[in-house]
Amino acid sequence: MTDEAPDPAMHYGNLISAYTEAIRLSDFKANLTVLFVAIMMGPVVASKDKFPHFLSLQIALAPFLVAFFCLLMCVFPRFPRRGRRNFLVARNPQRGDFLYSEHKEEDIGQLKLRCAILSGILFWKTLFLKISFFICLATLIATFLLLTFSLL
Amino acid sequence: MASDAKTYYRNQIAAYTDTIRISDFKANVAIIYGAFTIGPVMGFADKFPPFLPLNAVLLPFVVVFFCLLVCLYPRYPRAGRETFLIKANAKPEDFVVPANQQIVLEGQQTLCVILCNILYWKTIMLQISFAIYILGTLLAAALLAYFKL
Repeated sequence: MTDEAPDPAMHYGNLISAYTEAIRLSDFKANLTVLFVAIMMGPVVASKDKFPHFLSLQIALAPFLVAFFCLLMCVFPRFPRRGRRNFLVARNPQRGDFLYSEHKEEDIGQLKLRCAILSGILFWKTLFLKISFFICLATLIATFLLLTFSLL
Repeated sequence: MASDAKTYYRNQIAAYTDTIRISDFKANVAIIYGAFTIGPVMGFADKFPPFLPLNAVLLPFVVVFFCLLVCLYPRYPRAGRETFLIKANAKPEDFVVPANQQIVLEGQQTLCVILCNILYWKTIMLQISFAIYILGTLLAAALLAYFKL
């Protein structure tokens, strides 16, 4: 039993489900983080009179803009060209564009291709999400230090 | 036997994934809640008791936001990259079916370890931030009752 290789279709199917789930979770996090950053921008702008003299409003807003850019890049919809054959996104699709293939090997090849595409999408999403989270965390550390210093 | 082990690990993975998803959802809602609450708090800064400066009130918010963002920070440890490849230019040839069921089981075990560790840190961060929120709410209630702001 343990010497048998797993069914390729099932293996790639499971992998695709895992990628889709991770991508969906990344999108959800990015959507809510963009909302969080947008809400936080108001109080920051409103309290600009209380900023220390060396911190201008432009400098304070710069991390927000970089975080917005990264988060919007993260949620930007992408359908790479190499996956078009199996997942068509067209203005005028024809019935002939959707043809069933009886070749199992071709199906496996398409599943592997989909894994590769999803892996690439997840890579960029994770990269942009990590950059924006890192900016948010660094800004929070800076804010914490400034607030603590003002209390001393 | 192998099939039973496979089902066992699959159930474990499903349970971990589900709990992690719920933790992420809680953290997302909590971070939005904090962001909405900070505005009114800053608006009432002039009505705070004299011993309570605005900066001291904002500090817990900053700590909570930090913990919640750490909780939500996306993590894909290297140990799991063998079975769950994340690559900018991945090719179909990079995805190979495991040679036998033993490798599948080992992969599932590794995934359990990774998910367990992720859930541990998420829970710690979530507990810290929720404890601060609860303490802050109790403190605010006590101050409101005492000073009748």
